[in-house]
Amino acid sequence: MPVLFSNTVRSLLLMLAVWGVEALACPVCGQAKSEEVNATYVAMTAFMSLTPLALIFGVAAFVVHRIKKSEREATATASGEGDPR
Amino acid sequence: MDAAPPAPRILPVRRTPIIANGVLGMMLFVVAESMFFAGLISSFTIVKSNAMGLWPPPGQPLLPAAETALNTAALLVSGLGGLFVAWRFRKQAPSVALPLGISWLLGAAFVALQGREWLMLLSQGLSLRSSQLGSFFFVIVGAHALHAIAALVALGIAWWRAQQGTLKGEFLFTTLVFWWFVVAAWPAIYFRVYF
Repeated sequence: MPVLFSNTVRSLLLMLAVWGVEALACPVCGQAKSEEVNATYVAMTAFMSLTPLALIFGVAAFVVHRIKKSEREATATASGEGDPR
Repeated sequence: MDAAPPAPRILPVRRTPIIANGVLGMMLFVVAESMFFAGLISSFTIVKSNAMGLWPPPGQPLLPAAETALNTAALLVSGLGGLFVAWRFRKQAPSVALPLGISWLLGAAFVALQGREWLMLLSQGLSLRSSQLGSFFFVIVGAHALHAIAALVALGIAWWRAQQGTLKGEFLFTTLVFWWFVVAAWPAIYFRVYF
């Protein structure tokens, strides 16, 4: 059976597991004045994280759609069907 | 001795782009600009949330949401006009100058009404330095107005070319992509900032 981790790494992982404490990854979320403000921070973090992904995937989907449409038109022209729409 | 047969001539394949370069470039630009507005709206939302109900800040006027609904309607109809222009152009209709001109006029009406609203708010004490509301309002709405003016200049050129019969599809659709961005960004700004 292959050895995945050396003894040193195992010891370090064990130490991390034992001594780990809660950390606030976002420096402002922990200082929110109320639950509502905290929810706003979380919502805006999600918004700013997902918006660029949605935009980029939107452009990519449009390009793929145009490629498929172009291929359909080329196939229809080659088989003499005329306008594929 | 027989000469070797001539090598077959290979003609260069003429490739037509699936999406016009201008349109694709404008779409990528729109992605970047969308993030610019998303950042502004996000920071405005957090600042407003931190005000803990004291919004608008004391001494600052309420934003005229009802009056701005008229501007919003004009802009949305202008965007629909752009869709009609695109549909007519694809159908190779004789001219798109008239619907393009109407879209331009509605867009110009939006900018003019916004300018009037700015003057009214300035007279009521809302300015870039008066409060966080003023700062955000003039930066967000001002940035949108600058985009609207730039798009109106491009739409005006497209209208002029349509009048002359020299309007090309790439220029028209590049312009329309930018115009639709201006139209689509506005409702997000309106509902976040005015209410």
